[in-house]
Amino acid sequence: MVQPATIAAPVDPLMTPTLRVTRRTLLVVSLLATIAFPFIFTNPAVTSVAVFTLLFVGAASAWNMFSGYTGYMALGNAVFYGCGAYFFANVSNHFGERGGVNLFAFVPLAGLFAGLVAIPVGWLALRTRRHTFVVITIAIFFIFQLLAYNLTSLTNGSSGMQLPIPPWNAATYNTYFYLAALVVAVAAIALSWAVKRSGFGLELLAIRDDEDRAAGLGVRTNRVKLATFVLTGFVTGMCGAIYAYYLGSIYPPFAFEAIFDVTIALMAFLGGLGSVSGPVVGALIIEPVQQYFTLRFTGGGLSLILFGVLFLAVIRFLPDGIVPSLGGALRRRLNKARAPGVELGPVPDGPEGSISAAAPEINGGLAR
Amino acid sequence: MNTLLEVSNLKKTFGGLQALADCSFSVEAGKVTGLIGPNGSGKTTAFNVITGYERPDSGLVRVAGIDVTGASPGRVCGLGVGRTFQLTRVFARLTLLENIQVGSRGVPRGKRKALYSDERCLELLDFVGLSRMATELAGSLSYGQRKLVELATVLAQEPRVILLDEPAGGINPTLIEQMAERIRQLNKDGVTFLVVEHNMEFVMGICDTVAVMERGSVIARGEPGQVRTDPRVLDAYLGGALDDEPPAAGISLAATGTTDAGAEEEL
Amino acid sequence: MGTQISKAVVDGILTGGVYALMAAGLTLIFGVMQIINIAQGILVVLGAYMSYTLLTYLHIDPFIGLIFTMPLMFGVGVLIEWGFIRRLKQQNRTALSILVTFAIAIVIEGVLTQFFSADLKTLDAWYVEKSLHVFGFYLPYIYLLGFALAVGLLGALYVFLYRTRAGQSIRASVQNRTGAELIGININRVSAMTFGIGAAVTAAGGMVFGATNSFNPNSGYDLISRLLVIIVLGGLGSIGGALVAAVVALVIEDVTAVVWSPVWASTMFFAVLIVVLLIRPNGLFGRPEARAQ
Repeated sequence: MVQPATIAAPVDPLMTPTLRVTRRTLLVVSLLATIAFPFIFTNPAVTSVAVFTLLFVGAASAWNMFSGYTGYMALGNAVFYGCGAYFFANVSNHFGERGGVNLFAFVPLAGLFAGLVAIPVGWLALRTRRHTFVVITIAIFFIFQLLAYNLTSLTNGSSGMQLPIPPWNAATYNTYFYLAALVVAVAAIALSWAVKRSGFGLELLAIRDDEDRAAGLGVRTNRVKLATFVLTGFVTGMCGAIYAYYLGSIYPPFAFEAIFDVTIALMAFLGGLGSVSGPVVGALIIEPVQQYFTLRFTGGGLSLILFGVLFLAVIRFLPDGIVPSLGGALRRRLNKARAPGVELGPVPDGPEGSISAAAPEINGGLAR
Repeated sequence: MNTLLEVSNLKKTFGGLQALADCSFSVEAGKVTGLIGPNGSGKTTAFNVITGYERPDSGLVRVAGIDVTGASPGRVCGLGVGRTFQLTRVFARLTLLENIQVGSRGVPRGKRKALYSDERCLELLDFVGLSRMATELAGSLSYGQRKLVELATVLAQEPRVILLDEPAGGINPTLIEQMAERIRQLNKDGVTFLVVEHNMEFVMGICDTVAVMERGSVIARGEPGQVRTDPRVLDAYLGGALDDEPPAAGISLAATGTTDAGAEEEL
Repeated sequence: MGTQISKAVVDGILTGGVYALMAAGLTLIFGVMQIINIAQGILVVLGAYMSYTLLTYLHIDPFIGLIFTMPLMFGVGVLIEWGFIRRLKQQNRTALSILVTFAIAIVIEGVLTQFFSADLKTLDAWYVEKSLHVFGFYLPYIYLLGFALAVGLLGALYVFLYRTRAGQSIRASVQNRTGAELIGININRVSAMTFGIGAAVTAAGGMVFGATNSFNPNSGYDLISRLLVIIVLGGLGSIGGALVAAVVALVIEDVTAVVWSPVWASTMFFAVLIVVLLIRPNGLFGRPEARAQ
């Protein structure tokens, strides 16, 4: 049919060998720096913010893995967060009177539990199309919140549950949680990246663009959506478990918090919906800010106002998110430097997946 | 004669409109079959019913003997039926290469590994002449280019039969010829085609046999040359002129003396 | 038990009517603009605070106060639409609208907290305490008046939608947005008007809500969750559906409180949605999204 020999796909300027190596080095360096962080900045106030930030990195990445890739906006992920939290609380009380590092072993279990919960929730929610889907996830969230208040045998209702407090001293207390959260965050990012690169991820992105066509081409859309939804639940559940352990106690409005859902969505949006590093960037920016707001403006509505305004500003001025916008700008610069007049687009396998930017990039000036 | 695709007595009504009324025809393996007819005759509905996008009220659809009436599009596709759309459908935010790859993902797991390679997908892009744009987003393409991408995506699944919905519509003559050439090439390699098209020159050029629909049923069947002078077909197109074809010399409706309802009155 | 159930049913219908009014606004906004206004809940609370302010500082009766609060809320709605919704890109519109309106809701909640603090408030008017003794049980006047108000406003909405030019253009936009634009309907104006109406009804709903519940800025979440459930239950975009859904859901909730336990009543409210969606994925009166061809 065709000579296969010398067809080479045009190369993305951000993917040249030199830049590849640079990126890899940067990745390793930043990973090492992140691990070293709590040992350098030992101020508990700082590391506390860091713990929460990492948890949100994980949760936002997980959210993005489903909602960013498929375009189905789920606003009920707090369900998994809370389920992970309560599962961990129950199990750790059962098995460990004293807290300790060994209790962290229950975190993946909590994630599994949340993942299991995600199966019927996802099955129910995914029967509907996009608009209804969002509302269903919100409704399911409220149901779970109510269940948390009412199933007192499991959750102790509004009195909340206490968790075993680990015997670590004040100086290093946060460090353990920091590292645990880091593990989960890295796992979330790695999972997100692996999914994006895979054929599975491609199917998700196709669903986002034209679900019926994808189904018509034989893609098992239902299976793919549900599987991803469960993965999201798994990761988010683990974050919730660490959260509960860190706080030392858990109550329904904190485990199942409406603002949580919106926060992780905002983080993903800010950073870049559908990209792997987007939610990370978003969480790194927003969570410290949010923590600062709550600390500085307690009680009054000022923190809410500022948060809402921040939110609106992000949506207004950075609708594509930081990472895709930066990636696009960088590409344009590099393109101009290489060959003026010829514009190339991104190739499929970059971790900064700006191929899935919230808005389609229209490359101007390309010979047709 | 090896029938690859067969529809029998299809009926489909939308509200008050009868889109398909006892529609029956078959597609022979290895041939290019055209499906023509005036607007509203039910061609696209027939396509939709065959490929599972619509459920017929009654009737049968069979692919290689297997009954697929009312099956989902995914299932029909799994039996080797590919399809393009009148209003092109591509995955706008994916690159061309990725679009093709999605096509190759839709096949059963066993076949997938072989079909999913970058190499193979680039081949297909090259076949439709778009390999230099492999990393462009499909959403930035022109209409004609999208048609080609759609075709390549379908080809990624190595279908037995491809249903093309107006492949020559809305594109320039050079591209039309390229499209025809590719269809011929693919047909030579054994792919069966069912083509809905209004462009008669195109149809005459590539089809081995043509079925004509009018008001939901097939009114004529035969070779292109035969069909275009068939009085019933001329009737259906209201006045005899088949799009850009002038009426065959010597034939006018008065001479044929037709009395079918809806026909032009005698001159 | 029997009278208790009957009372629960009646209560459900009366409160359902009020929720129906607020839900009607929400579903209308969706129908015309394809967006989900998450701020609807906090707007109700805002309406309650407005009525509260008028009552407490100017001693204006809540019902009479509606003359001021409804146009004011209409203005707020128009402002929101013009300032934020209109600028949303067409792509991903519904998803973005959820985030944007959520953000607006958060801001309004913050503002209310700043001005009124988180203390619970309620509207006290002479009729709030008094009840009507009928059929063996007591019906608080406020419920009856609130229901009458809701019915009246819904009736007015109906007349507006089906008997006026403006209403007609709204309905046209619901059915076919592009088509409506093509025949000269000013979609921007229609959108602003629709959002204004959607907000104006929350003034009325808010007043009744404030008179029958104690509220604070945090009450918005519970409200919006209920309203969302109602419009999905009824079928997105269907006002009639919202009416039926509101009454049905509220009745079931109130009856559950009596028959089973008040603790589980709210959970049941949401559970009804799940059950219905299992049978009819598009709500009671929703239209299934046609498979795109």
